[in-house]
Amino acid sequence: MSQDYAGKAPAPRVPCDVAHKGAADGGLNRREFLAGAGLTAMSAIATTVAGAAPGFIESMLRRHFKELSPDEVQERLRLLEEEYSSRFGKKVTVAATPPMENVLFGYALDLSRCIGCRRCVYACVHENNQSRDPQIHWIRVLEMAKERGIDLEEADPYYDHDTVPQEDSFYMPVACQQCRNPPCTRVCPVQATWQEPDGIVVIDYDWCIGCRYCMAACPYGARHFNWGNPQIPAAGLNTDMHVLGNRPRVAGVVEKCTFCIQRVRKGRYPACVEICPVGARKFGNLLDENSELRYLMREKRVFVLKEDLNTQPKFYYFYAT
Amino acid sequence: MADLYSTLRQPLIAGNKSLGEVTNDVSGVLERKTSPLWWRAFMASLLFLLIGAAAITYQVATGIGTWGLNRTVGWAFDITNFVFWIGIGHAGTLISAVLFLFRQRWRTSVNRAAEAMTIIAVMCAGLFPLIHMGRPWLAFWMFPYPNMRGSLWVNFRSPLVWDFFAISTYFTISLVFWYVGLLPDLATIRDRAKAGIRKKIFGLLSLGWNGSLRTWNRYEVLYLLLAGLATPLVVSVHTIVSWDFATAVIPGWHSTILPPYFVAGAIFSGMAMVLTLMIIARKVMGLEDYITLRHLDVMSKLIIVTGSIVGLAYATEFFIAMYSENPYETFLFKNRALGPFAWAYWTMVLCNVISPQLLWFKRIRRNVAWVFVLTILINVGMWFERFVIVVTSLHRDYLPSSWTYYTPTLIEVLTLLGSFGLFFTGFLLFCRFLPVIAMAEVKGVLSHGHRSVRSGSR
Repeated sequence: MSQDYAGKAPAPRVPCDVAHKGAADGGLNRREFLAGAGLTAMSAIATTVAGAAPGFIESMLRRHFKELSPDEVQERLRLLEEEYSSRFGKKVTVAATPPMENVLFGYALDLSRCIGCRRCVYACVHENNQSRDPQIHWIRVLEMAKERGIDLEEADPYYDHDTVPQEDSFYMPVACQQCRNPPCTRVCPVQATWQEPDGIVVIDYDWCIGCRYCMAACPYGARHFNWGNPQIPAAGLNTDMHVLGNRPRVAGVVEKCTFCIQRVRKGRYPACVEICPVGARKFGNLLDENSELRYLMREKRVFVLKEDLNTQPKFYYFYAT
Repeated sequence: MADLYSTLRQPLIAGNKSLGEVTNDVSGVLERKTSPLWWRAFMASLLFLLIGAAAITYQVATGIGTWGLNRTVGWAFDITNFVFWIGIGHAGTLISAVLFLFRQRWRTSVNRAAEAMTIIAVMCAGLFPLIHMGRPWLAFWMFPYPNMRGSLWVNFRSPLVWDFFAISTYFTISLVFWYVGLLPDLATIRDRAKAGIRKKIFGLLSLGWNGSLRTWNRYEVLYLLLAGLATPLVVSVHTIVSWDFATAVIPGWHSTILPPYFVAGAIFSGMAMVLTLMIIARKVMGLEDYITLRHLDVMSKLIIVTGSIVGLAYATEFFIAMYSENPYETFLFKNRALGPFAWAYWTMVLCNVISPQLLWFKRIRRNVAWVFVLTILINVGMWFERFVIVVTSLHRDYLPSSWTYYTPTLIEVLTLLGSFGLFFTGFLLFCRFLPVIAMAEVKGVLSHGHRSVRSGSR
């Protein structure tokens, strides 16, 4: 009745030379194989533990940024400063400037002024220590035809002209929309990204595990992933850093626009606002009735991107004319 | 002569087996020397596993840049494989728990192997969310235990966390259920073992089973309770996996149809994989008397049912897109069927909707070769279903300026092959060391009354 695995020899009691040969075919027997595999696994673990980069074990046991006491935050900042200073050979300051009271940051962009020069893109790269190789740009400028109006289906982010603006085109920079109802923070499994009281959506790069769910959730493509080791030349490093903002990232974490958190919390404009040669970019406190932003919202035709998704952005586009 | 049955009383196990013959057939395989065929299959699976391990090591060491992903398509092969394997892992619990509660006694021939398959498939599935992280060594931050890293817990609003719960629960229950079901058979092997290490190991594993009425009573009660516990999980796991997609605002994902659609698809693919494996096993291990054409027939019918639900879901998605007049949805589904990934979409439709229709014919349901080919096609189709859902929804998102195409790299393909290596390595080890058929349960469905037919005294 019964057959063996090979489906040929019917008798269980026949001494199975065949089976021995089978084992010999494989080149090693079971015992040797198991011993070898066990040894390999053990030595792999041992080398990992012994050969781990300094601070690696500590980083595994680190606590979440929100859980650190003020002293622990200072200690963390000091360690980061040491790490970056020695890596880049420059004196680096890493701050953890807290949000200001009664401030909700908002942004407005004048589509009739923007000339598509992309100065903001590169100012942002330098200010926020984005990777130069591979290049990561937090701001993307879309070129669209004037006669079609805002037609995102025909938008081109890769335009490359000798001069801008092109006569028949207008330009629409897109970065993080800093939503009031951000789809990205909700899906993070480890609470590595959250909205601060001043409305800035930040990422704790120590805590991001790199699952990229936030990137899938974001309808604006505003989040960027470090697919490889980010390269930043020491000469181009911005040494004024914020722990939740522009400090250098590692491979495998997500990053995004923070409204230049290291600047705006000290009362300065974001780098893109400062650099804009035509003054198309406006920035301010949405809670301040006298701010330029509130004026624009009252007086201009203001809209937000993808309003129907109920993300409630704090980034407003408007036409001045 | 042995075919003189009323159709109502056709035995589940062919060949008029006696109790002793069942034991010999099933556990004899484990006591003989390992056959060369097994070694060859094992070495081949192990090779694939090692290739996969090398690919994963390279990827973890280098970074996810080694995959073909980009900012727009941030999930592709990884999540496709994850959902595919979780789906495969669905048939086991369905066969063992749901069919047990419904008193479908044909399940006894396949439930053990199906559960083993489930457990290994869930392991394969668990691998992918782990390695697709940018920093996989921090994966344990997903574990919601009050920890030394601060009182901040994981984000309970994130579907990925729900996923983690769903899958770990499913894995635990499946493992316990499988092990409990194994107990009487482990004791059989222990009792047959002469002496030495085999007797010791199986003695330990069978937890002092002594075959007394009380042991059996406890066992039956526990088995029933576990079946009751496991049944909701058949529905919950894939429902929760579908929430990974359904809760996002991406068109093609953001849909209430996803949970039932995913559950049906999972059972569909799981059944197909069980059939694939059992058709091989019955041939190679000579289990034709246990896994009969009747088993192929009923499982094929389950495939038609679930496959029809899946087909209906495909059609419903298009209807929703059309009827809602949501421009994003409408665009997305047009793009699925006619866009750059149309080849994947139509492969999926061909394999999942069209090819299973052949199973309406009894002659095909009872033809081993046909069923085998169809189950393979269904597995291919179900892999493509997940690929279509994940990639076609992402690659053309809300901002047309970000639209891209996705092509997998060699590393991703090797990782997929590696997961098949892991699957078959695990399954072959199971076939070699544990009874593939639930002996104790099969003995309950033997056609004792018909032995007289064979002796001609009817």
